[in-house]
Amino acid sequence: MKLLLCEGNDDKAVVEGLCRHGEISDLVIEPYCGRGNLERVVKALPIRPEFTRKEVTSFAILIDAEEDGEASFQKLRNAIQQGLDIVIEQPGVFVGTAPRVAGFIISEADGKKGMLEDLCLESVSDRADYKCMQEYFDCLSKKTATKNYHPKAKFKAWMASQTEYDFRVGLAAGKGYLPWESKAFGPILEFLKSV
Amino acid sequence: MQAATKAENIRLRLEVTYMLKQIEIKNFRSFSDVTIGPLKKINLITGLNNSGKTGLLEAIFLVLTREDDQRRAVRKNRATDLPNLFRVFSPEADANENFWLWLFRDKDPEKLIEISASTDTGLTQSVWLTAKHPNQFVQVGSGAWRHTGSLGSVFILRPNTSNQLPRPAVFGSHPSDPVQDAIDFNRVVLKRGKKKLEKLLQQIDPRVTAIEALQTGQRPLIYADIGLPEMIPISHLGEGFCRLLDIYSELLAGEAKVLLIDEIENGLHHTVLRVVWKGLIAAAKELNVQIFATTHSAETIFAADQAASKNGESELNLVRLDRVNGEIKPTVIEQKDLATAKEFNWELR
Repeated sequence: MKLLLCEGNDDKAVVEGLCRHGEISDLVIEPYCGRGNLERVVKALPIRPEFTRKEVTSFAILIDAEEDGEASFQKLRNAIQQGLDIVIEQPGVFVGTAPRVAGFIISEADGKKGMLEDLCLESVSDRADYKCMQEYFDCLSKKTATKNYHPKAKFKAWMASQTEYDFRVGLAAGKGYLPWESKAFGPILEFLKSV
Repeated sequence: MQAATKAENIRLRLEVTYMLKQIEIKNFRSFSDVTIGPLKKINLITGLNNSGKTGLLEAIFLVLTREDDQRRAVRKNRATDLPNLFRVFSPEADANENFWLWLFRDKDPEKLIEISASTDTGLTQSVWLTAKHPNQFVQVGSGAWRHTGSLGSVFILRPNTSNQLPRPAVFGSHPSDPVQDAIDFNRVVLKRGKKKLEKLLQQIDPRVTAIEALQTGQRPLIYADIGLPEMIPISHLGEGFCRLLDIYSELLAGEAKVLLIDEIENGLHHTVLRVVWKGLIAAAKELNVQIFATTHSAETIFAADQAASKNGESELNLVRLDRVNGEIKPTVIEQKDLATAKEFNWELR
């Protein structure tokens, strides 16, 4: 069994879309329902029969970098160390055997900050609807005191331009709005293949 | 005042000795060398088929049962009853060859079986099973062991200084003896527990207004009043109802302080599991009884957990037995992890 934990149901939908695109069929994907639950969930993993029966061969966790990719990695590393007594040294690199364990930080290209919505927006950044959305936020920034808008707000604005009226990343993934072949998804897709 | 304090001390001492905290099993059935604990008031045992759940109940039974106890058996509680307590064993079969020798791991009688149970106060009771004929006394380290009985060609040894831990009562997964059930019920009546028993059973079947043990033929049977012109033999109310009556009777009037229940959910609809557990746990707490029950049912696990939890504290542990590389490995799951498992819909069986 290859088990992948992701932050929420939106992340799960994106990962499922990527897996379909990358022809990855053997990953079990489960949300841990928010980074606030990460430590509690990972700490409880050893009670699961898949772990005690040693059925898990590979185990990986995804987490958003948010404002500080290094801090997010430390959070992930601490959770894995506390729960499974395994120390991961760097993002995306597996350690151990039975199970192999790794963590992956979802971030912008620089790896320092960002989140799932940034990846999704980057994947459509060459499209007209993205440029319209960006101009809208540029206009807002010029005419209001707000200079930085949250990626989730931008993604929702972009989603508002799509046929289906819904703002969720998961819906965008499920409806095929996101171009999985985009190089924005390259690093995470490679990681998923390595699990 | 002094007498009251003394009585209270005795009561407290008796109460604390009734709580098993840990079981150690070596070379018994599929258990190679396993320690299970910490145990709680309610211990649910789960795992795949043939993972050792019933074997664990048998081990607890063997270590707590005293073959040299001359008191009249309240229930079937002699070690020699073991073949038919949790399993169905033909009386025609060679018990030695087909049952007793299989208690040894890999059916290898060279492997000495050791089972120990310890309480939260540090008292320990142990039993050894060996196929080698022992001298009457065996010296091991600083302790002397005594040959106390035999199971076929298997000899039972216990330490001379063994503590008397609580006696167990067994509820196998097969139907119980209706005559024994009537006798047990009459003990409940004798101890003025009839109303309480009827109230507990009404939670399972609200039609039940009264339970009576009646002798219309050669032997007594238990009947229920469910509003029909005649009282109905309780076997007609289903296996789950009969088992619960059996278990509640033992709780209310028995001497056993440890109940060993195999496949507790058998015959019970999932909608009554919570009230069943509420009743069992309330009685177990009031009467200071510890329960070990095997289950294959997630609904049973979560119903028991819900009934056992109060203010973030729980009287329940889930013990899962897994077979890993031919060895049985126990995992003790406490309340906080059960809550996480339920929240994230994890499979725990």
